[in-house]
Amino acid sequence: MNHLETTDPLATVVASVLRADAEHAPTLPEEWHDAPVMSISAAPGSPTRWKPMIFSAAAAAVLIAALGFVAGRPHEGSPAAAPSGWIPPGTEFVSTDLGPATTVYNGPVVAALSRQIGIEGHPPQVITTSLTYAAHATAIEQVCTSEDGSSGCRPEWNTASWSTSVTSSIDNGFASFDLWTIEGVPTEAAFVYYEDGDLQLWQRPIMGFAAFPNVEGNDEIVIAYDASGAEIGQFGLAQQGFSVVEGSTPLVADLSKAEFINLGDLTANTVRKCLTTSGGALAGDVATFPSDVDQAVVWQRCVGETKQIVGDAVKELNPRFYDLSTERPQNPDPALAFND
Amino acid sequence: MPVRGPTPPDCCNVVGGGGISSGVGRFASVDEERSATAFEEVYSAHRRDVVQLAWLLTHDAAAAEDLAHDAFASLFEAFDRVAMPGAYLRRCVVNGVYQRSRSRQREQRRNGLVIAGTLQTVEGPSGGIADAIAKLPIDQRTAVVLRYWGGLRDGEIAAAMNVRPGTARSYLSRATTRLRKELL
Repeated sequence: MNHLETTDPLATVVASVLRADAEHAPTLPEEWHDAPVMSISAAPGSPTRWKPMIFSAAAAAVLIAALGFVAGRPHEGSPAAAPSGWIPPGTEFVSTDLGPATTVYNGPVVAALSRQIGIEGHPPQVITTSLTYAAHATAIEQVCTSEDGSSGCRPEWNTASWSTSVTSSIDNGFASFDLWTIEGVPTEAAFVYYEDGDLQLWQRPIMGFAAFPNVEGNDEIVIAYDASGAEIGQFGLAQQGFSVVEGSTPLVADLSKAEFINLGDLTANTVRKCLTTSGGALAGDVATFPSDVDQAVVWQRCVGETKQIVGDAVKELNPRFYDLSTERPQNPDPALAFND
Repeated sequence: MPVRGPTPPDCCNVVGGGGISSGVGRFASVDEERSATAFEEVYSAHRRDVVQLAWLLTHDAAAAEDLAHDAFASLFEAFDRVAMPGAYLRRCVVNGVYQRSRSRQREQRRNGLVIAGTLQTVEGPSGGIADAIAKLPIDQRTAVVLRYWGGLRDGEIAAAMNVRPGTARSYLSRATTRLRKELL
């Protein structure tokens, strides 16, 4: 094939790498030897069927071995195994606690409320509790789950005991399968069991987070168990959907883009100042503290202070507030844009 | 010489061979013998490119051999109707790669996805650029390989991927934006 002539440095480099890579390709026989008969016949025992069959058998052996390996593998980093020895049916879908996150969504945050969770085949899932300004009367607290910068957040007015989402890992090119994630798993849960068709998996939640492979078009069943195997709760299709209590979603302020950006900066800067004056050392947007400091207490105090300051700033602007579900902004340069 | 149509027909079911079953026991007529000779020439001219394309899109030697082989098998079946064997073979390989990708995703979703990383055979060179290309979504990766290795124009890429030229351009644009961001 002809190679495209180009002066773009990136194109030149990519073409060069691909040409070099192509030299590692296997070679086909020099002559075509009756192969159509082997390939195009679907009859059992046709020679070319053996290769996939052998490959499939080998893959199955690897699969079985790996499942056995994973199932029997000591768990790293997550809460201690149940003393009773009880585990849910199925295979453990391992998640690993990789410690506090280094890059977070909507920081600054305290290290104790951010975590990286490893799922094989995926970038770390980053769980963070943060404060942000989203055009409401003041800043809001939210729990966000991110994968390589692609985030979803659970706002403070979501009153459901737990919620779910599906990652866009395939579309984003992060992984070969999407994750069905569960946030806000009750703290007393030692296991989360996941069933989808023939698939039976379980996981030990970390910071209220569990994740399983997403199988499209099936009916997931999720059950939380305590360490003794007692059921804490179920999450089924009937409970899916938006988990916000009707009427609890705050009205939003009809701000300009500039006002919105300024309030976002005010939120981040106020949190940052509060964390550092409370003894926190910020590395990027993650604050670490001496071991004798209760980070949850510091965080709640900073959340309170920031909400007060941001709320006062919004009041000074005296904006019109409106219901997103029924109205549209009137500001000539609106902070929130709609495409309807 | 056999009469050939103006455009390559669709290349279907090239992975498993199912659905293409009427080619067994050919070589009966003089025309078909001529066709077989011409096919050998096409095979000889394209075999390297076809397996290299399959390799670049899969990085799996066994899969690349199978995909290339199946592409030629499909071409053999449709040879009398194919005007542009090279384009037809490209499309067969791309179709096969997509089918394989979908099949593997389904398999992984169903069976212990904990080992998704284990089953993915990655051979050959690795490193910044090669890794960045390998990490592109399949549509973007295919477009990049067809453009920068295959030297194809937008229309030819679109034909190989069975998409509109605008879509092919979009894949390329997104891929190059991403590669530029990661590499330069």
